[in-house]
Amino acid sequence: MTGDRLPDTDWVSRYCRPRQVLDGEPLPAAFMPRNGEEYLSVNWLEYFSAPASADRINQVRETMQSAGFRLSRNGLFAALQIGLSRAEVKDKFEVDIEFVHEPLPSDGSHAGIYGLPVHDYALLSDVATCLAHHVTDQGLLQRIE
Amino acid sequence: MQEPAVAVKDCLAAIEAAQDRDEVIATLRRAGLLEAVERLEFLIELEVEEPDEPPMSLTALRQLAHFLLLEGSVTQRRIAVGPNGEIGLDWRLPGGGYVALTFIADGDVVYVADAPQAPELPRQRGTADLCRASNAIRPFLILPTTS
Repeated sequence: MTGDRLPDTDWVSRYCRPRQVLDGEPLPAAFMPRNGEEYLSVNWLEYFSAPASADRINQVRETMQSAGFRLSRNGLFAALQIGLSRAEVKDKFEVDIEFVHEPLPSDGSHAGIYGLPVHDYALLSDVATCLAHHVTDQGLLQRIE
Repeated sequence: MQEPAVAVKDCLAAIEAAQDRDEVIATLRRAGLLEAVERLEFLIELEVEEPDEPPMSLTALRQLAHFLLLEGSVTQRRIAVGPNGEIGLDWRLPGGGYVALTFIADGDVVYVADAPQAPELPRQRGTADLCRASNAIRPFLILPTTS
């Protein structure tokens, strides 16, 4: 963890791959890190200047594509409000997750969700399920056509 | 009463003997689990678009197929492939509840289940072999779903 913690009032977006999406909703697998990964990659939306979240997600999309990241048709971006997400996970599981700015040379908005229980796969699965349902119920979803 | 076209025990044996994912899916098709077959075939097709992502694990697919064959009422649930090739199966329950299973590549099954509107069912979470995981979440299978 190298960067600054992001404010609870801000938002991040998570790119959900098509194989982790069904009927326009992210499934829990979209919020599971790869084995060995310390954090879950997201993008900090307030890094961008556009006033609306949907426009900021468009800027995330452009940035990722410019950096060579392949965004697949039928994938989607799911937006999480940081404070609400942290509170939900804390309330349900007594797990403290943190959203930290981790800028990359090709993507200044890159950030990570730290504190996921990566050494307890069952608890991790529970947290990922909670996040997937949280963004579906509360968040902003933007499909990639 | 009409006999099922293919006996479950024959399907389970076929899945155990399957050499690749196509054989597992063909067995599910013979068993009539067509919605699951359609979704699994779609997920495998997606691998062409994302060649850097780990493919769906054959071991995980075998375990999922076993589960679907033995728990026939869960055929219409949501199936995904995780970032390590594992397979997720989940559905939502009223009142914010859910059941989520992850069939991982080493053959174990991770299970979580929570039904706030059925307080008689204690929350379940763990990692176990298929039989124990199925037993843990079976009481939740009779609850209505919202997804």
